[in-house]
Amino acid sequence: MSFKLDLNSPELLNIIKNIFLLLWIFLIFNYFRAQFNVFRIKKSIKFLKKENLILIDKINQKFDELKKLNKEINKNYHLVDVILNKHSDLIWILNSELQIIYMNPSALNALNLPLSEVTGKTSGQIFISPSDVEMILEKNLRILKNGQPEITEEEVSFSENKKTFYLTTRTPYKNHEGHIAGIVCISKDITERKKSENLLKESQQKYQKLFENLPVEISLWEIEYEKGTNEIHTWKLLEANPYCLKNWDKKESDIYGKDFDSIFGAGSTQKYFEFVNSTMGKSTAQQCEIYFEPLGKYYYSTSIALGHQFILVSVDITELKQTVLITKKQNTQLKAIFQAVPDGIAVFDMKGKLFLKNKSLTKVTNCFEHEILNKSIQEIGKIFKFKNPDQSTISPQDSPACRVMRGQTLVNELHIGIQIPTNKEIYLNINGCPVLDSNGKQIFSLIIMIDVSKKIHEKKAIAENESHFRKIANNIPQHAWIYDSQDILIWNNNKFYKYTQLTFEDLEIQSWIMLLPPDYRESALKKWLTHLNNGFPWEDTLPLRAHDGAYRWFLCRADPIRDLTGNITQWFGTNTDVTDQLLLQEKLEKTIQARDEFLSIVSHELKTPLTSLKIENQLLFADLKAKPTESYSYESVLKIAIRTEKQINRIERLVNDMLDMTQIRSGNFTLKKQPMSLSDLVYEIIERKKPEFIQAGAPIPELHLCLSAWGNWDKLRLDQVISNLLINTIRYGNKKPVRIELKSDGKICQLIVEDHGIGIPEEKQNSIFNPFERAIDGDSVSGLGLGLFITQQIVVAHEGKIKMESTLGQGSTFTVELPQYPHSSPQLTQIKESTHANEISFSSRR
Amino acid sequence: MQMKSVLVVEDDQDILENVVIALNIAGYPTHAAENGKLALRFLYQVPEQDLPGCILLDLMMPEMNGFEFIEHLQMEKIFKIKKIPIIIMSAKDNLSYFIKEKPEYDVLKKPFELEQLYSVVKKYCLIPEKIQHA
Repeated sequence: MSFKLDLNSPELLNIIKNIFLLLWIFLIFNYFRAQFNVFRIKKSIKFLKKENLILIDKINQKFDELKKLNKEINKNYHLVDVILNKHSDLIWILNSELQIIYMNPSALNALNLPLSEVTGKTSGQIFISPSDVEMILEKNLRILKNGQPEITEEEVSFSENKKTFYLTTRTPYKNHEGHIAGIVCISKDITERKKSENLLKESQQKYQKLFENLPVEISLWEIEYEKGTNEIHTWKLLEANPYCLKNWDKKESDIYGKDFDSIFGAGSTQKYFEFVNSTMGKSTAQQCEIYFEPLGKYYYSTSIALGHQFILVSVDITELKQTVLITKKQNTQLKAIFQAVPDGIAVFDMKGKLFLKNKSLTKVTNCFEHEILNKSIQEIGKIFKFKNPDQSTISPQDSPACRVMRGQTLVNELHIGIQIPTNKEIYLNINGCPVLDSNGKQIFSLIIMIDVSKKIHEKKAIAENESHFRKIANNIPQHAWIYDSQDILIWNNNKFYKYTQLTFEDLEIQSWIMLLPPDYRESALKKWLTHLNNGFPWEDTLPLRAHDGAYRWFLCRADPIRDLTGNITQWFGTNTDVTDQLLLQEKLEKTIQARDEFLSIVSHELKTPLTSLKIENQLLFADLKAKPTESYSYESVLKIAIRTEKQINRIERLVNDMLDMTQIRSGNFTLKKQPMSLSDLVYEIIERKKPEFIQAGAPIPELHLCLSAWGNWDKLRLDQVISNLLINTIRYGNKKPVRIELKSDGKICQLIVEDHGIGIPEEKQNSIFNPFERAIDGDSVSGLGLGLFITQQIVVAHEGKIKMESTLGQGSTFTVELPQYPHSSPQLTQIKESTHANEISFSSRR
Repeated sequence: MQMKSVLVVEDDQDILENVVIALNIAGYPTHAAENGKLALRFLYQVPEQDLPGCILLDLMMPEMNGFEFIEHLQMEKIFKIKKIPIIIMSAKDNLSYFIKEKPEYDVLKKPFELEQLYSVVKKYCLIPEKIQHA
């Protein structure tokens, strides 16, 4: 579509004219409206000006007021500042973060920190004790939460050893928005108050405890007056301590609020009335001692009035009263004892005057009462003086009384007192001491004298007896000794010292046990100590070493010595030398054993031929029964007779040997000497013994005999000697050649018998000549074992000698030497058994 | 029936002779030995069938005594020799300990009766006819 504008068209001109008109109208309207607005503004300004003036006035007024207020506030602030700074209480302000924003000097002083150090810090950074910190934090948080102020007592420690009590007020304060902005804390130091409170509490407790536990009756009473008067009617119990209740045996509930009569029975009030009455009238405490019948006791009572009340404190003095009574009685008894004691008692005053004495003093000193009582030491010294026990004199100023006067104490002093007129001497045991008063000043001198003359004389007699005893004990053959009950040596007699060559001092150091061989010590000591303990008499047989080191056996015995109470004080013992006895006993035992053995051998040796005889005889009987008598030939009977003869000879030899032995032992063995040729005798015996050699299968001995072997000898006994030696060669010769040699130098004849048999063991060689001894032990060889013993005894009886040399397995040589014509040449010579002393050994005793 | 012999061991010639005679009379064959050694030698030499029925043994003898002989016999390996009964003949009066230790042995105490000898030997050797008749 197209639009075309025609500027000459009337319509357009019309429109333009209208537009201009409208514009005109609008301009005129705006003009008038503007004029109106100016008018209105001018009016407003006029009003405002007026109003502004009023306002300025008001502001000025307010400003004045504010100035005044500020002045006031400044004044108050100064006041508050002064108060805060000078206040002794601890004041500090916390913000909502619980940081310190203010602290007054007192608080800073208590903390000992400058303000700069504390500002902005929390309590936790200031206080030391974690428990304090926790407690304070908890409180502060509570206050912040609740908004309620709190007042608490708290104990805070600012330093390690100082604790302070505070009464702290914590008050929350609000900001302008009404929220809690922090806490104002004010702490008052109440440590001193607390201390006094505690002290008060403690003292209250103390008094309470005292009241409850004092072993004194304490009671509180209230007076009840007669109606309308001031007269005391009665008094009622308000409180009583447990001691009262215990002593009165009442319960609190039964007696509290009750009057005196109803507690203790009618008449009790009367008893105490005067005392209570006097108490109530006076301000000071009243005391009285009274026997209170209802309780059967003596009382020492104290009472103090307290307004209408009074405290009654009663101490039970019944025991004291009784003690006084007893003391009075004892005093009387003591006086009686003082007079009755056998000891003389003298009391001197400080001027040296004897003013008190007992009866015994006159008796002990042999002085009359009027001579000494109320007399001075010097006066008494004229009739009674003292000497020392060694008879030396005592000067008057060193007399016992004078020494005690000088403050010395005498204990068991022995003096001789002499009563001058009669010159009688008394041994006195004197004790004395100064008597002091409570200040330690000497007021008297006390002397006690005991007459010990009798004891001294007895002691002298005992000493004399003891010296006699020692003399005896030193001269008895035994060792004697005394030990005390603790095994300590007191005394040994001289015999013991001589035996051991030890001194008393040696034996004090070295126990007697050391005198025993080491392996005896332990058991011996054990036994001795057992007896020391149980007190039974001791007996032991022990080897004690002599000074030369040799031991001898002693029978040691000890008996306890008891005192009057039966306690053992000492042991008296003796050691008796029993070595010889023991040797003898051992020898006896050996002898008995040997005898038994001998009897056993004898019985065996006798039984052997008997057996033979018995069988032979029984065979003969049996034969006789079986055969007629005529059938026996001469030869057969002879054979029997020879055999019987042989057995009888054997028995005879045994019996003879035993007889010889007995004779030698009893000393009845005699020789019948006659001149004879020994060579003849040897020939004779060899001839006789030939059958025995042959029977034993041994060669006949080879003989080398000198014919000049004549002498004065007992032929039968020498026959025995040679026969015994020959029998031995048959028994022990081992069937080897035997050589017999006979030599003579005109004085002494030598017979040598040499075999090559079994020989004699070396250990047997020394004892081969002893009775019952055999070359071979045991069950291999028969015989009594007496042959060589008898042989030796016969040779010795002829004043000769017999020797033996032997090697085991090679043979033995026996050499008999006989003096041909001995000088003494008695026709009858007694043979005595040569003794063999045997030593005993310890081992045999064990 | 075969007769068993008796071995007599005794050093005393007379007793030995008499015991042998007595046993011979009773009909027992006998062997004699003077000591233990000879007795042992005999036991080893004799044929087994001729070993004695019992041994009469003296105790006290030279060379080898009765006790030693018994010891030897107890250690013997040949059973028949070991088991030969032994009769002790002794005059020793202290034999009680020995009897207590070896109760199996018979003991003839010297001097003994012939009857005792016969009755103890009879236990081990057969009784000859003629004695029974006698």
